[in-house]
Amino acid sequence: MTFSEILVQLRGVYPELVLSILICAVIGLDMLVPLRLSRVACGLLSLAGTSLALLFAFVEPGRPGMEALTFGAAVTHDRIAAFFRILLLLGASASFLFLLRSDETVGYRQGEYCALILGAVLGACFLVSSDNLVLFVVGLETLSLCSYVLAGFLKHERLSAEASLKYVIYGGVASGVMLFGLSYFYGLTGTLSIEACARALLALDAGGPSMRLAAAMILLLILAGVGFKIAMVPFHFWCPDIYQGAPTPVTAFLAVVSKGAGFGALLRLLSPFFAASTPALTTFDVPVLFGCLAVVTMTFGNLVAIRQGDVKRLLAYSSIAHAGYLLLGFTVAAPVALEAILFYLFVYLFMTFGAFWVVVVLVNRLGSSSIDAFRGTAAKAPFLFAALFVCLISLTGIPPTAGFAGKFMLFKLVVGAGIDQMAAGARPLAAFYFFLALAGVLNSAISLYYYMRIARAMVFDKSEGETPMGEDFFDRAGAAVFALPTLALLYFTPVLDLIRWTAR
Amino acid sequence: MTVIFYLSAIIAVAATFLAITRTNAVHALLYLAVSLLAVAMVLFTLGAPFAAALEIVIYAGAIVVLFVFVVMMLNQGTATIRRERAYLTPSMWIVPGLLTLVLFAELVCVVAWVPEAAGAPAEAIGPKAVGMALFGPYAIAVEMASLLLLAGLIGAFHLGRRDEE
Repeated sequence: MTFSEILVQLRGVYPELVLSILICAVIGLDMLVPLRLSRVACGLLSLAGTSLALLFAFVEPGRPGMEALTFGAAVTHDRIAAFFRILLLLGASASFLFLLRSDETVGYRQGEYCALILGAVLGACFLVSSDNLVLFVVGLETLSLCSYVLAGFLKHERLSAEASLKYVIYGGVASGVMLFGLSYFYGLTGTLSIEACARALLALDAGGPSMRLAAAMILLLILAGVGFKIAMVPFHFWCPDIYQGAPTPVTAFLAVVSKGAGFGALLRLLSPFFAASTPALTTFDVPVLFGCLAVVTMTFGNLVAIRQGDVKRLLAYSSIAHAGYLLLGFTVAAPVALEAILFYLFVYLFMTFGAFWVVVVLVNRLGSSSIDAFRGTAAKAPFLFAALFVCLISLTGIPPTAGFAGKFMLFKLVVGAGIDQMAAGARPLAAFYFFLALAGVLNSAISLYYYMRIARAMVFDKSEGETPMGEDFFDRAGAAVFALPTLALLYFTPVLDLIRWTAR
Repeated sequence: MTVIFYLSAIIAVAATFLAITRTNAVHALLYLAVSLLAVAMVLFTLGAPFAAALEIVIYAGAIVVLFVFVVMMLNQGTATIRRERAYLTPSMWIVPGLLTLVLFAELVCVVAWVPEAAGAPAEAIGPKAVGMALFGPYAIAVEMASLLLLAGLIGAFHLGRRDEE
């Protein structure tokens, strides 16, 4: 590839290009401003730049000739990539709002914080739009490396440093396991193309007993790496400690952007397995495997969340449970399934950010994220409480929120698959699908209990002594930015159009 | 070539196993260096001499030296100097030395007479081919890797810097 050819190819990755330039710009800016202005200056520059990247991500996919700009089949411009880019950049922009509001990182230079968030999003963007396993792994590692440092950003606090160290060790092992699987894959098939990945695995599967075992093993090893990112049981052990120890804006970032990127990677690698025309692997059925993982993940997350006393830890288990709900979408082979997954991810972004926004403000004022510290705060910050309440009932899946619509789509999908299997005469499989839907509904009922524990503490419990609680304009504005879409996303047609366009 | 490949692979696995089971950091590093040399030998037998050379220069050379520097910086004072002398007793060198000797014998074999033998890879991938691949189909991955390093640098800078005020 000559230099001029590379310049032409760069036109295909404008959002990523903007992010890369922004990383350098924000570090440069941080050298010029005094420490007390560091947060505002770097935060605003990053927010503006990320918004520009988001604009490109919206406009670019429709441009003619984009299909040719692939850097020699290294990146792809398909619809899933376009959708996830928008989702991730939206998440990144929101993360900078969090940075501007949270007082937890004050006292440190914020240029590095912004650069690391931007680096993580850049890695995530390439992760979801790569068509080559080398780029896939480099993107994943960039996302991970930045997340490790972000988790330990408050380097003088024990919990934060501990979170970072745990994250590095778990993450390193998960990456290693996945790379081990990928090296088998490359050794046996001789291809690094992600597009050919599923086909190559199926060809391996048809090649005799030992190859069949290899195909199953490769799939499971890759799943370990991606399962770590989305906090799927049994790769979830890192999640509660890191969510609790990391600064709250970072926790929100990990819960939404890192998890969203993980789901993007999963869809990218395995989506052919969910097409109706793809034959099943002989060793196990991929949709059934995902069904079992989904039930275990959501049940574990919800049951353990009940006993948590710290809101960030509780939201960590809740985010494990939500990974379980999302995995339900992977059990059905149809475009509708993709639509349900993408819609749920979009809703998840707003309701999770909304809940974390209120936690950020409460932690600013109270200095603690335990449920006990939140007692009696509803009366002093009614608007924030209302926003949190909306997000919590949306996380539970109660109408009229968008969370209800998201869960309804997922459960309807699974029930529909069950009815189809019943009509086709496959009774055990039909029963399995009905069981999945039932497990989902029961789990939502369990989650209502622990989400309402937070709300109850804020409204009914009396606080001991004076709580320094209140709310100002920016607290309210931010809460509204996340809570209003949580209420009304269902009726917002551009988003629905985008999702239908992606899933078609 | 096949025999040499498997022999090097066994040495690599054994040395890595010994490296992670040592309780003494310096001993572990010694085995790590042997393991990296064995991996370089594996790469050589697979027809990637350039990658093998990089493995030795960068990993067995620069990175192991960095590790040794860190170990030295963490242990300071006369008491530790005496202890450090005790680390590298002659008996400590026997096993790594033997493993390295085997690797050296392999290298002599390969350089002296094996390239024409049956089982050698069809063509060795030289530096030019590696360069063409890096700036051809992998151009974007290379750029992304450089940003990964930049992110690592920024992270290290944040964790290592002294606080202002």
